Amino acid sequence: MVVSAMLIFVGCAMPYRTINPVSAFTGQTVNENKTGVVITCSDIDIVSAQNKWLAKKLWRNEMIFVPVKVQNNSDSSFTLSVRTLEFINDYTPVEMLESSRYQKVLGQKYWGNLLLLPVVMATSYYTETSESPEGIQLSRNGFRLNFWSGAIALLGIVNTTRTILVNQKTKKHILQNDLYLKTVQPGSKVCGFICIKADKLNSPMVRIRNIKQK
Amino acid sequence: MKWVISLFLLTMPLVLFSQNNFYILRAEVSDEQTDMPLPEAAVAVKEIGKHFISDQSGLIRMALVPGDYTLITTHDDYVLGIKKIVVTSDSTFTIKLKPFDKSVVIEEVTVVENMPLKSNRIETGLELLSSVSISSIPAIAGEKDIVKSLALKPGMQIASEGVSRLIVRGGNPDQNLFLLNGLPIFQTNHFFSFLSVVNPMLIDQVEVYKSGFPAHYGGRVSSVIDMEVKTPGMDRVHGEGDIGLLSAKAMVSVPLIKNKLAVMASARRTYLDLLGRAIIDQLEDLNFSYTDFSFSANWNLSDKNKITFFNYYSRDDFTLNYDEEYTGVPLSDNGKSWDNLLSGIQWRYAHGRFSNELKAGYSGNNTNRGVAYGTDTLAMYEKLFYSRLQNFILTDRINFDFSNRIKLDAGLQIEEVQLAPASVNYTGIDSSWTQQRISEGRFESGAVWASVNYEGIKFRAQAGLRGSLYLYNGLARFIAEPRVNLQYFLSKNSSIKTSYSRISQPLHLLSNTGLGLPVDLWIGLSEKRKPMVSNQWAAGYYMNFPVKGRRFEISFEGFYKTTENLLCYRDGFSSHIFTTANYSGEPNYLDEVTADGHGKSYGIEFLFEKLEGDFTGWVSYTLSKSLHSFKDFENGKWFNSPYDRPHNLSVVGSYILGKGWDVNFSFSLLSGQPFTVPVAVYPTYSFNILTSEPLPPFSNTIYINSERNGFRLKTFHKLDIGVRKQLKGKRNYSHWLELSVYNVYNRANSTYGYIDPYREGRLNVVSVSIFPIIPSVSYGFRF
Repeated sequence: MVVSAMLIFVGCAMPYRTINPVSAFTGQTVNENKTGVVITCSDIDIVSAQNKWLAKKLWRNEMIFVPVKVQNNSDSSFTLSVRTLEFINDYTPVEMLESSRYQKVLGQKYWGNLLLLPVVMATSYYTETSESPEGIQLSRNGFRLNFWSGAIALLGIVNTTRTILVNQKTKKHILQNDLYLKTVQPGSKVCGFICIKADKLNSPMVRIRNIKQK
Repeated sequence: MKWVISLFLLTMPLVLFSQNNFYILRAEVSDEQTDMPLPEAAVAVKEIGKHFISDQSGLIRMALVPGDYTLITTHDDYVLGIKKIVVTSDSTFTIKLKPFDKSVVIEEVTVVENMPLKSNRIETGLELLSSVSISSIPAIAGEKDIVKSLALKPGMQIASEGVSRLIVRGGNPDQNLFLLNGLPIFQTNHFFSFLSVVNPMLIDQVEVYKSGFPAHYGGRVSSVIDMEVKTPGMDRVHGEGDIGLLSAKAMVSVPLIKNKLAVMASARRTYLDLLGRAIIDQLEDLNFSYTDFSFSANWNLSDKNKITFFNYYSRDDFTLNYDEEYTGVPLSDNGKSWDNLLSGIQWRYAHGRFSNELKAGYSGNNTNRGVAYGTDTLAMYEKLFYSRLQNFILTDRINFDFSNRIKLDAGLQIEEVQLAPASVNYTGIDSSWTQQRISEGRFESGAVWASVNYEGIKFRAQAGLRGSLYLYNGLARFIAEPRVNLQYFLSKNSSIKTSYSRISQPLHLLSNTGLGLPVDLWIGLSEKRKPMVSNQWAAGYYMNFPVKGRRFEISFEGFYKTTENLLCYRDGFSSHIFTTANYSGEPNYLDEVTADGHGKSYGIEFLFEKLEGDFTGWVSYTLSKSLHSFKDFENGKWFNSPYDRPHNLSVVGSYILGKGWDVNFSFSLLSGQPFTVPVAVYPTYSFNILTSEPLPPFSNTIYINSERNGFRLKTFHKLDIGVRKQLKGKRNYSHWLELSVYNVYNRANSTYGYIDPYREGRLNVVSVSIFPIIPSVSYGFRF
């Protein structure tokens, strides 16, 4: 029971707190070029601040989701990518990460709940002994759901389901708001996150890259 | 073609009209002469208080908002470079450094030491001292001294004025582990303890651990002084030298195979004896000298494999020749010598997240003291006392980084210590014999350790365990030594730290108190004599901050330390009992003349340091108490330890005046040394039974002593000042002249004290001061 209690506790999925990138701009740096493209980034790591479990995972993998807002007042569209953006953190250019680089990191592990299976089996096991009128001892054994095994199984299923759902929600929210490789149409404004390779946020800055014309 | 046009149209507005709130700069750091890129050069941007380190190609990329900036570039063996830039666009520029030394000051350039901040390190009780700091602190007769420089840091002091015996947090001098390139030094002093044995020119950086010892250190209970020797230059010939009043020293490093193999040699010798004999006739019979040599070789076998060989030898000689006129015998020599020999080889393998260091070494110490009578051609007899210690060490240490956050440090160490603490050898015309005055043999020790470092954003931890096993006289003693360091960052630049460490020491040093020829006897363990074990708790607050681009550091730290199994001579005994022959031929039983006890010390330390700028320096203050308790003294009550100095204040500064001039000073204020004095006396007047004449008063007096170490010699304070002028140099050659004044206001500090019962017919405590104001001049050069 102690083992199952520990497993249930450890396997319990932590909720993901959705961050609205629009409201995430508490401290910010603004950069505007003459074409009218205004790009703003927040200097607070709001995703990690609001999601402690995710913060640890991101920090271990040196990733930060920085809230970024782009207002394209020019008459051309452009795509937010390494080719067009330069991201600065701690006064040094940093790498921006595509979703394929961080997707694995976003999920909480749920396979630990599989370890509950032997616990469920152990608690479901039963042995019954009866005596026939002729005085013959009969024994019967097998697996049968009881209160404990049922409760543990249920908690395991709930935990696993909840973890999968939280993972989906996290992934969906981040991917939906990932600005990297997004195209910003003329006259439109986009708000979202850009994932950078860094372990702490210090004076982040972003700008439209100077592309040399040949 | 269509997509090319589309792309052009898409990006054209961005190209033509881009205007940003920051720009990206690409700096290429290279050697001015060879244009070779310089990796690991540190470029400090003064205005934002940030350092950037160049990569393997000597490149640095940084982003700055438009404005004026000052870049200060430092690199080992290169002149510090200053460059002013105006940021108005993305640009690439070069920073060319002159191959020189970073301590050289050109025009109004500030020395910026690329030292790690101790507030960023996890260990409590850590002090860092660079070669630049050592060279900027004024010293007696211009002799720069590592130990005396360290004594200006909080929690550390010298045993008495002018003496290079370090006391750390109230511990005894033998409780400090002096490591030179990882090898222990047992005799740490030259010149009757007035100078430390290591040539400061050799040292690159010193790290001192007063608490929070990492698990790979062991063997001494008070501190670890880890001295890292300079690495020989792989690119060209480097050298430096210094000629002072007491000695001359020089060092040269030569690359044998460029970027592969380099060797370095250093030497120091006093010429006090030669000068003295040349100037004063009476000194003809006195021969005194001290000298030390070192040789090291670094061989980069490949990117992953490096081999280092290191050798160090030091020796002191003191001989007084008497002729027949004084002694009535044909010729006599009375002398003493002591030496150290260190030799070690290390193979380091590093690949990715794994590194391994395999080290084999030897450290030996000999002390000889003898007297000889005879003629030039015929020795009548010679009596020699000698003390030997030989330490063989084999260490393997591995480091493995599980991730950027979790790192493992583990290893093992096997040691054999061979001891002959006190032996007397007699050689006469018709007989010779040797007596082992202390029957000590050898002992083996082994240690294994493992330590895990965790580095979080706000929290860091270092947890380790060291197991020490001592084998002696068929006995085995195992001591588990847990070590824990914790650090929590309150903000980016401030943190609190705490630590617990337990550490053991198998060797005891029996020392005579007071001044004189040092006779220190290293002794091992017995059934009664157990290893010293210390437990220490420490906690503190640490902060660093920039003011106008200059970094400051502040720390407060408190500690509480207990030490078990201390050893000292019982009252009435000294090394004399072991240095002279016993005509019964029996060895003395060490345990009968020594007493064992325990100690405790506690205190708080404060340090305020300015690390960058024209003016650098620090103020340190320590308030502490150090107590001993021996069941054989004072009925086991606590009494002041001989090294208890409650107040310890140091102020050290170095100011660059410009045009090659700089001024350095250090001021120390220290409570007086504890001292035991008679508080009552029973004079007995005796008569000579043959002549019936009265003997002098106090000739057979009974003294009643005060509480042990209950009185103090007068407070110690002094000011030293030095001025250095950089002389006009040539390419790759710089030289300077330094004038220093020791004890500027001629304070008569007590070097030691004694009881004089004969002066003016009453008991007197006599305080002896031997260091008045001492001006000196020295000339140094570097190429």
